[in-house]
Amino acid sequence: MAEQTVTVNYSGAVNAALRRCLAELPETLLYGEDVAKPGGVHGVTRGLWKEFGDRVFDTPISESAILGSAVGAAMMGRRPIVEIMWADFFLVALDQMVNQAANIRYVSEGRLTAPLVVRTQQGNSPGACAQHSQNLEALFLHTPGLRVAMPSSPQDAYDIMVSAVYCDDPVVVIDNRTLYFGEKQAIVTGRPPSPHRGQPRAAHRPRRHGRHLGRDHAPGAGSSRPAGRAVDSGHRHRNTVAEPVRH
Amino acid sequence: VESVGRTGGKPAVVHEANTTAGFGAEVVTRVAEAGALRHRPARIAVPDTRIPAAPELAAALIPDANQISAALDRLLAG
Repeated sequence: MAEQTVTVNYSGAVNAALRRCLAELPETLLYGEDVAKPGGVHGVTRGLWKEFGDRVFDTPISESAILGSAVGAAMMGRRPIVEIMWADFFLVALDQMVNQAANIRYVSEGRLTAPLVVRTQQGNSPGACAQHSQNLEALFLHTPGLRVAMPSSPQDAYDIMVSAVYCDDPVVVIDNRTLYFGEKQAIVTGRPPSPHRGQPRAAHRPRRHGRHLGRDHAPGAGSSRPAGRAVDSGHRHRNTVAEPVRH
Repeated sequence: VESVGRTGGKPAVVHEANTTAGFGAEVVTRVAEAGALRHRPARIAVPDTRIPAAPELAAALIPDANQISAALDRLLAG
């Protein structure tokens, strides 16, 4: 795929990454609650059902079925990308993720892998209330066998999604939904999935340079949105921002 | 870890998840394991509570720019 610069917001970046993966990898599937005809509850998967037909489909409201079928399909050579509409809803299907998907490579002595991606979103926003506001990344980070990514910008969202789909391990990609409709940014699409297979291209990198205060952000480290705002609006800190070092 | 060293061994971690056993705790631990911790770290996160429905109450719990800025001020002053 040729490199190209496009201007998109966060949800547009995820959509572009999914479109690319569906086009490049015939073994991919994209499914979940309301992802196909409605285009996703937040519109992230809009247009993909029209473009790719039966490989993009809606499911019943059963997270266990979504994840269980994804594990089986992945073991049999498919590369499913499934959506759990809210991270809070993941909890009814943790057996499929923590006890099954994470164990496939180990219990098959490496003969099988489970190359599946679970997309979900989390965090608080007005009206979300207690059962739709949780940030659950630590549960998945604690589980060997799963990879966890939390993008914070359109470029990261694109790169991480592409790398996650190409990765042969189960990957949980957690969005913060308040980022979906942020400002549009120019991003580069079409780059190879990752210099190191299984490692997101974005990975750890310094986000801001200065004198006293560094700002690093790693996928999986939680949304950098509030921190970013603090540094951006933190006139007092702006002049005291230290130079972080690449790690 | 290197960046923490360059800033005087004062790490601050920020996330929207609850404080206890959050990813920030892992980051701070790895900084400590690497011997780079020179100061009490700042964990800026949501207290270990449920999230209220009222936006005003939720906003009081979830670190925003002002709260993060204030916590960083305390870290730099300390």
